[in-house]
Amino acid sequence: MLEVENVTTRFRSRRGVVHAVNGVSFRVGSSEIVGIVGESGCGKSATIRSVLGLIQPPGEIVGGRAVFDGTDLLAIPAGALRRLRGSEIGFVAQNPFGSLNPILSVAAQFHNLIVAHRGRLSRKQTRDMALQALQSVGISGPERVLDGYAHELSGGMAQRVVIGMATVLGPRLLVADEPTTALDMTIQRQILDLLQDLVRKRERSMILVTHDLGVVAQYCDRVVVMYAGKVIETGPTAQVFARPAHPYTQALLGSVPRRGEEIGILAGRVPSLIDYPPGCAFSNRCVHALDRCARIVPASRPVAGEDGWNVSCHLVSGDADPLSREEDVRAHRAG
Amino acid sequence: MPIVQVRNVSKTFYRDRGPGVRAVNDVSFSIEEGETLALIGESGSGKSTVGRLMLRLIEADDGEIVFDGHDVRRRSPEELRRLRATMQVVFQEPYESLNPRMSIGAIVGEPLEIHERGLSGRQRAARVAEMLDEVGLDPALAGRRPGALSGGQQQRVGIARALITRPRFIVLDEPTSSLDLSVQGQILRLLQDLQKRLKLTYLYISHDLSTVSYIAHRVAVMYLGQIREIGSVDDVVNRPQDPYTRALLNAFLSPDPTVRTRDTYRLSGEIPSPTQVQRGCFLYSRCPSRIEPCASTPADLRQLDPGHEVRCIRAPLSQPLVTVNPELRTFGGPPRPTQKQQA
Repeated sequence: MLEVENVTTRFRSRRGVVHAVNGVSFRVGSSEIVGIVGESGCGKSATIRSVLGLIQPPGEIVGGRAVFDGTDLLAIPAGALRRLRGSEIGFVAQNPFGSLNPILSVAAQFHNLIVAHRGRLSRKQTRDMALQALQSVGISGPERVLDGYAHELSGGMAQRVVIGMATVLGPRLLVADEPTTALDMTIQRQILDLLQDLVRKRERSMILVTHDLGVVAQYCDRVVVMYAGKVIETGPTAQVFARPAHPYTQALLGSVPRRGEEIGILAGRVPSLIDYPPGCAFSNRCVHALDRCARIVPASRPVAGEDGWNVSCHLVSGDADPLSREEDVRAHRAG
Repeated sequence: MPIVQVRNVSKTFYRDRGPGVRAVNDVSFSIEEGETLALIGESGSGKSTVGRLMLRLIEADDGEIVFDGHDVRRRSPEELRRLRATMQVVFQEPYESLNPRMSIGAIVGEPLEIHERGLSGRQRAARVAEMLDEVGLDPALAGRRPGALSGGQQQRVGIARALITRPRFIVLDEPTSSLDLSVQGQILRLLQDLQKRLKLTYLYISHDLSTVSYIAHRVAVMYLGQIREIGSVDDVVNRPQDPYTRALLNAFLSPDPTVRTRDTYRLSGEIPSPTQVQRGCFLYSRCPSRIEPCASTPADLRQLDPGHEVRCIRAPLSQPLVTVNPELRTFGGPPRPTQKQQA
């Protein structure tokens, strides 16, 4: 459904070029929910904004492809991408009130959206479509919501309306960037259940960007783990969570607080995205780092025998041949 | 002997027009020395207001707040100032609670200017350096400004500032909710370690069940300004008796994909406006387990087991309200990833 390959995005800043997204690749299959997870500054939002054509100066996409249904989203004109966005690809952002127009009624916003993509339709026709969309996102009393304004809605209701707008034209891919981070726990659960339903029942696909491992574990078929603008591990959620291959994935999962157990500590800091390190970006914090880790960028390799499970780490078997690895270890111990 | 006791404390906020908002409604609890009590609830539950009332950052309308035998609400301004050295607070947004124009050393040392005026500049600098070291910061950072620090380091500064007057009781108001997971772990470990070494007593305010189950000894669940349930973490998490607690636990997303937590026990609708006066149980309009008397009978906290109090009039039920997901009992993340052998 979507194949992202080697996408690279940079931002110019006064202090230098910020390497926000560095050769990111992942796939989203049909009827699949893929989670992109990582800590702040890891490039997860910049990645999907690149794919959706939402990067604005001083940001610039300098390379890569994002093939959606045979079309490279990064190569088509902005107008064509805009037409795809909203009709074929729906987007749900973190703050619902940022996506809603405060001075237009909900019905008017639905009308403008639908007419922009589907051409001249009557108010009555767009209203019917909007009603159906609001019903499908579990809003009782959709008539009243349609005639109201954004400020009259609670956070949870506003996010439902945004999801209704993102799905009213029947997109095949839904992209949600931290859709529940601003919401309370009980509402979060309802919204995520709703998104999952919309994807499963209509055979759509979804990218869910989140910092919350619970959201990934409970809702995502596959996970893409990002660090310093790179994908360091990707694979089926169950496998990656049970046997994380990358030392960063291991550290991240080890940071989850659990009663009666010590929390794992990940020392150090994410490297500067301006003076991007030459080797593995995690090597300065990695307890297993070998000499080569700081010098040579590890390629993404399949984790032994597992389909669709890849990791970028010199230490994982299948990457280096055992002999040279032995040498590395000896050099490491000696030095 | 509890170090802090809160008795029947209430607070209503008034706006220019319209009815007041009863943010805290007849709340009582106590905390033993060296203990952590967590206050958990969703936004608008009143949990942060309780913390502020205890430190008299805002004034309560009713009730008593007894700290170490003194009624905080009756202290004179001078007595309150002295008391404040022993009761401190750490806020949610570290950066916003630190003055960006002051150096780290000046920020951490500032409480000493109020509480220990006799110190010389050199003595103060020594105390600051000692404190920075205590919270895991390089004392050389004293000359830097908050903007030069990472979020985790900023929160360590906030903790150092709270600790420098050698307090005995600290209100931790969502101290890790703006931090990344790996940094959160460091701060929680630090807080736990400081508690043991300095015999600190914590009120830990949070909406996050996983950090609560990690750091707290007891937990109080708040909804619409009231405590719905209070008890040991084991009681409340493993044997929740109040429908609100159960709904909250059911909404928890386990970070273990092999644990399918199902949202089978749901409250209907959303939190009603706190300005609306409720006659019976505050949860009535949303409760999946309500019965007719709940509409008119006020639900009062009562003891179920020693140390375990609950508000629901139906508790304890011979049949559990819902089958609590058995996996919630372990209440944690995935199995600890096995660290790879050092190659």
